[in-house]
Amino acid sequence: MSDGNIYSLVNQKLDNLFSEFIFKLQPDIVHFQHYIHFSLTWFRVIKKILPKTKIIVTLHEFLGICPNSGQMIKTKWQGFKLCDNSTVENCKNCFPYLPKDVFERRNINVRKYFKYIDLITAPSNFVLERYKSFGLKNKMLYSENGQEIFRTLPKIKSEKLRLLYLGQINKFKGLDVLLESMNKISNKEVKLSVYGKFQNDKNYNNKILKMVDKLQNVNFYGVYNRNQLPEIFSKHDVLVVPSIWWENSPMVIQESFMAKTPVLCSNIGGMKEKIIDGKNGWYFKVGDSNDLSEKINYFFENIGIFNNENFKVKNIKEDIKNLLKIYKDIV
Amino acid sequence: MLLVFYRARYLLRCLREIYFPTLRQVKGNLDLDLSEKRNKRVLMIVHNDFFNAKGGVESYVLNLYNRIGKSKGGFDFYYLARVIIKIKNTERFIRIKIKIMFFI
Repeated sequence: MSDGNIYSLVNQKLDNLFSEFIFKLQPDIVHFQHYIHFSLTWFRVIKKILPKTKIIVTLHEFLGICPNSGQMIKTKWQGFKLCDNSTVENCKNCFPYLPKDVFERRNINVRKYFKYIDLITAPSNFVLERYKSFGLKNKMLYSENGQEIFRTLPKIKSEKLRLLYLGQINKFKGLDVLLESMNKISNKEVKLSVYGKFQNDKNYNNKILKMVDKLQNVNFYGVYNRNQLPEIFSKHDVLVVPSIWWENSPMVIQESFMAKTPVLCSNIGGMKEKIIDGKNGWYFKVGDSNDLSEKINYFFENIGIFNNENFKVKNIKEDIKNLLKIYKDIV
Repeated sequence: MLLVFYRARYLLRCLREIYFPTLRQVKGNLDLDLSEKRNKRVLMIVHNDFFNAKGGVESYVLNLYNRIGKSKGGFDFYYLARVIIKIKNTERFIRIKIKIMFFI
């Protein structure tokens, strides 16, 4: 039965259905890429019905340790600041209208049910460290997500510095920070293209649209698909990832490296981990449009310093080879 | 006053959480027609239908699925996800979401 606590990550009403399914399928390994929208109790269900079955969980966000959509960002009650530590007190401050025991129960659930997991993997050491700090003792393994390598097109030369923003448009992705910095750049040789889809936040979407309208050096192209990436990257010099949340292992950074395009990103979390300063990109102070403007100007002067050999990406074939090795070792 | 409003909203969401999963469970479609087990089996779980959902994780799992398919390296692969079916009635402006389980 659901305990009625939407933050608990537990909903035992789904357990019977899942039990029946697991019993029929008899898997040797259950690999969770997500556990959100299911129930943490599924870990226990697996071990109860099939004790020899191994459970692997790949962490793609901080959902187990942060009730604010797993972003590790404080809520509006705390000014949307970055959260460094997932404690009951911090969570209570983020949700002042909820009793403290909501978060105590949630943390108990995570620690209780994560014990059934045989191996945790993540494409970011930063994420693994956060879960370790939370107190989890599971065996953990860093494993970068492999990418389906797309063909790259040669860069179309230009005297301008052509910046690129790719991805979802929501308040966590920090496009407003980038637009603010574009407003501060007087150099007419710097242009920004924005590709992405708006999410369901009317206030933020309107704010972005108004900012774009006022800026002469920004073009908005809307939704894109993966087939367009070689062409999009061929027309741009730098990818900007201005996220104001930690991120885990942003796929867009891997895609940029595939296209031999340097990345300018916020200096936190899983983004920073992917950048070798001055080799395959650069980073700026998170949320600081002044620092971002300075770094963009720096790029304008120094775009030639990047060597194609520094843009390394893990191939999906290599990833699958590693994955199969993990499976063979664990069963 | 604002805190009271948020607290009330939270309680309503909790009630919804208690009752809606029952409907989801009834609509669950996990009929299995399995052949004899010859290889070790891997069940991969992802929360959205990765053929249609655009998220980073779904894209990654779709890439894995396209390369691995149903069998690779001595393992048979099975995939479990949720599907959200949206039915839009344009005359009455009603949009219904049905959540069911999805299995390959």
